[in-house]
Amino acid sequence: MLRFCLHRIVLGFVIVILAISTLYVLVQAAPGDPIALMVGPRATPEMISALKERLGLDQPMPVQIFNFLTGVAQGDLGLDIKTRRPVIDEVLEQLPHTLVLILASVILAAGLGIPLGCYSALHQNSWADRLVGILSVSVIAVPSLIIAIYGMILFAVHLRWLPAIGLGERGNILDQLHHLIMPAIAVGIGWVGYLARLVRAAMLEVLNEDYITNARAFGLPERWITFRYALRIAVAPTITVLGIGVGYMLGSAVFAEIVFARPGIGKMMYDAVSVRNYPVTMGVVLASTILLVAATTVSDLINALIDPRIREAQE
Amino acid sequence: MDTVNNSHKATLDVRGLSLSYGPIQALKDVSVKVEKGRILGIVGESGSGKSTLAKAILGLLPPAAQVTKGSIFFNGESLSSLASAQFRNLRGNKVTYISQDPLRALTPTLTIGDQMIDILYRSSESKAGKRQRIINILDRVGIPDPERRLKMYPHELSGGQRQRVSIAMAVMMKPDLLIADEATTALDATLEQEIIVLLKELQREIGCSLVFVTHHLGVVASLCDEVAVMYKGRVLEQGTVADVFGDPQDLYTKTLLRCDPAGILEKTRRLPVTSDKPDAPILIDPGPSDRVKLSDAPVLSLSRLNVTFSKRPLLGSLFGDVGYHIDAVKSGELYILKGETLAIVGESGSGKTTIARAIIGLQRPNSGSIQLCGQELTGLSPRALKSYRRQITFMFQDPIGSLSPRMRVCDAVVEPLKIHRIDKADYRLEAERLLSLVGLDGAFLDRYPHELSGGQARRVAVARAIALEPQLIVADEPTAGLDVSIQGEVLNLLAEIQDRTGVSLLLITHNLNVVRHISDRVAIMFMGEFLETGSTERIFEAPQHDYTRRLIAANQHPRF
Amino acid sequence: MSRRDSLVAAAKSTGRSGFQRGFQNLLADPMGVFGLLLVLTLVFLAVFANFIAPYDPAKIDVPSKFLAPSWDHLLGTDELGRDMFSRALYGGRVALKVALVSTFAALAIGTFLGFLAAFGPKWLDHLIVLFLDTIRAYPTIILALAVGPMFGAGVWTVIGILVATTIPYYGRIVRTATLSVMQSEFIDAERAMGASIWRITVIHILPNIIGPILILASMDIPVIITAEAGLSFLGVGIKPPETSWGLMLDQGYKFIGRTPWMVISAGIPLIIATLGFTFLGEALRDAFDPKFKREP
Repeated sequence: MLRFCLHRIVLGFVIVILAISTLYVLVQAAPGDPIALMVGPRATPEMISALKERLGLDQPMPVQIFNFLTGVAQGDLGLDIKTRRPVIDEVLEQLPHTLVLILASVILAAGLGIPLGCYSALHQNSWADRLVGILSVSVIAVPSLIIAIYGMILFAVHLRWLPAIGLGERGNILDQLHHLIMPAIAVGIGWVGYLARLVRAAMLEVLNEDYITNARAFGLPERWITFRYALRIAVAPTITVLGIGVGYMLGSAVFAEIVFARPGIGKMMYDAVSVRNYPVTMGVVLASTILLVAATTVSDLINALIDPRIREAQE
Repeated sequence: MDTVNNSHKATLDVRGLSLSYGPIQALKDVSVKVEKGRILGIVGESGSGKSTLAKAILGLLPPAAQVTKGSIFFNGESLSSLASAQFRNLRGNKVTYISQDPLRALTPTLTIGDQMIDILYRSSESKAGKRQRIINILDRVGIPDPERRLKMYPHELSGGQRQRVSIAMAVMMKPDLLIADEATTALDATLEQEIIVLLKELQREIGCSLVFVTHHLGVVASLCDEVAVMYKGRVLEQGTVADVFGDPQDLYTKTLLRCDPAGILEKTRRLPVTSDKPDAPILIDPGPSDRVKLSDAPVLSLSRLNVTFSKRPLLGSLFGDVGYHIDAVKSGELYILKGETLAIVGESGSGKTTIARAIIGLQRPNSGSIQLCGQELTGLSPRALKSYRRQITFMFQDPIGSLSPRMRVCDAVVEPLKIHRIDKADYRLEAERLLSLVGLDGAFLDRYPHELSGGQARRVAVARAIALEPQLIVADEPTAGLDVSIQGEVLNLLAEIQDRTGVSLLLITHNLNVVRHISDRVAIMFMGEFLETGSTERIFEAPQHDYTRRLIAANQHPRF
Repeated sequence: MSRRDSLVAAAKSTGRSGFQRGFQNLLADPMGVFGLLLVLTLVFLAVFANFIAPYDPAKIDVPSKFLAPSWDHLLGTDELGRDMFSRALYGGRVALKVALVSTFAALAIGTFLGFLAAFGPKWLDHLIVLFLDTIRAYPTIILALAVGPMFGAGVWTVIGILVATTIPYYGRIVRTATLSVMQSEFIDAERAMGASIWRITVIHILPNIIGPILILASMDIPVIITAEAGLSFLGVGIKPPETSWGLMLDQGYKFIGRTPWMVISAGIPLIIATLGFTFLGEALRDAFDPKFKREP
């Protein structure tokens, strides 16, 4: 187990380093010169080359990458062009809001999707199963942007049940939760459907296994068979999917944060892109990449904890 | 409510049970009875309904199954009148079960200890007491170092050990009735023998009744007191093993016993098949005496052949990987004459499949030589090797799995011709000709592999193997997974083709009985080495090695 | 006829390929038929947009701006008086073009890399897997927001970003599927008969993995359509004068307080497209039941 953890964590680090380096190269190679974008259209070539020299962009690529990586490792993501504050501070300020949103979505997705899928599998072909099936596919299909906008119009503008914008009153947990409902549904509802489909399929497969028949043959209570024997194995793919799903949720969070004017790295990114605040956009990409790699690594580790075969198959 | 009026109550009494899955009738008016402390074998071929019967007794049938008639009595009580909670209370308590595949019967995510403690959930014993009980029973079924195994997961145990754990689970509650569904089928003969002895001992100790479902007549003969023969959902006859096997009344039982190759001790090129008259005496036909052509150079010869599987840890050593090294084949020596049949017999892990893969070029040997008609094959470039591949063809263990699933039979059969660019005016006609040689008509040309039965797929595999008119056909477990009645047909077909074309056959098998009649010589393999090689008669009559003797003993069963 | 019955019927008939059986299953599934009809309608509307569209999508008609949906203007008009329905039809063209081109390109490159990893030496396999994992580490939308403006917004930038971020999805699946097919006995049988690597790949492996992979691709199409709309909404996708469902959403969103129906109308074509493709994809997967599951 220890060996498996070590392996996964080292691999995670390697991927983060590779991803950051690749991004750096990509940005430097882009036809739209980021420095030119930074200094604006009226800059003279002399100003640009002076800035390049100051930023170390005249050095060979590997050196640049190394400098960039060591900078990132020390938390140096550059300065916000507009506010002149370190980008790292701004990212760390906004990140918790996005994390809360994604966490709420994951809780919604797992808390609703897993039981629904499990129920569907146990009552295969019942009307409830069919209904859950159709609803699941529907919510998978509808983009979170649409859910956010329609939800806003229906529940905030028309019915006035839920607040339209913002984080909620600082320090008032209930108000903040109230403000969290719609964004979390917009980001997470599709995943409820996806997990329900996934768990249902996995459950049906597991329930057909010999070891489940065997457990029944020993008269174990149905409740044990469902949860302790079958569901534990059936949720394994769910965890993997959620780990990778964090990447998609980060994307959905951008829309949710924009529509509901909710602070977070998605909104920060959007605002920075429109004013070409290049260091901020890079900072957000790095933060979200690290977040995504961390999420997939954690999901792999949880899976290995559940299923002993995984940690041994890993080679 | 139904009750049994007899003064003594049979442990299990199935009366006139009929059961159907939708339009398919799986059981028809089935009646079997097991008295206390007796062992009943339920024997039948695939699709006979024997497993359905076992599942029906346990109440584990899928919801689609419907009992249309009859009832099952357990200790005089009708099971159909029980509420599901009461039935569940019976299972794992008074009635227990050993399932077919030991590799899949245990939950992969729970330790052996956890699973066994779960089974004891009804007992009020302390956890320590339960633990001790489990350790004792694991020790009793022959699991070494049981205390350590408790913390292990199923995949960390060998197949035999897992089956012992399954047995321990089943006998732990000292049930009145133990149901075993093909419990030894997946095991090697010597291990199967050990498990059977163990089961018999445990059954005596507990004094329970045992229902043993199997397709294997020999196992029934050596284990059971009584036997019920099933065919297409019916019980044809039930009686003591001596009565049924010694003097079968039903035509099907007679055929089944007649077709079992273990029952024929003389050498014959033609095994009895189901289409023969069941009462006719078995024809002993040793085949033409000049079949094997002696020549200076054998068709195939191996010398000092070594195959090892090893892995040197490279980056992995950073994380504590130690790598491994296995000698799959150790200095193998072998030759096959023209027109001869040689059988390599060994149990799982003996290296017999590895040697076959080396011969057909799927596995590169580490050292030694493989000569085909005097030409050294090792070290040849793949291009040069290709022309020699025409001379050796291969039949895989799984005949359906070795056919490309999206290829029709007509294409699959001529695939070797296309690979070797042998032009035929009409490939379909050629496919039809090849199929006719193996006894299949043109209707099979357009079938897909999944639309074939095991026996039909095996015939298609033979047709493909002879398409190139090779010098040697290597057949891996040519009868694996086939019912007894079909085994004979496939072996007869191979013998017939050999008689006609003079092709040499190399059979790879774990089952001594099926090769006894068709093979000229037998090579016994164990742990990667050839223990002994000799004529079939010599191996059977004067085995020189202790392992060979054990293997022969494990394949022999009491006769009646 | 229930799905079970059709399966039984299909199993009985001989000489029928998995494709025919799967197609029968699909037609027996109401969800599948629903999805198929939506998708066919959508493709028809997009392909013949220039014949069907009642108005020129670019024609500005300021007096009739902000009209609510009516029989004259099925989805109403926008702030410049352009007919939203006509714009939606042309937006459908863009959406389908982006979806098909990106899916096909990602599928082709991913399949190539997957094959290369499966057949190549171990070091190459590790290298490709590491490469795919690295790309997979970028969240699509956020990467697009950062990189998109540098390459200039437009159809091809959108396609480029979507292809790049979708490659790992196919690469990993093709690799896993190929490795699993290569372990089956019929591939051993082909090798033992002396078949070349090309013959094995083209005649035996490809037909066995292409079906399931195409199904997975069909399930990815709504994801791509959603991503295109999202990027256009964010201003890093399709640029005017071209139309896109995402641009229409952006427009409508700006006037959400004044005329909420405009953003509602703009969402309808997107909902129909994603519903249709998702239902079809899920039904296809059920009908053909590929052995390997979606691996996002």
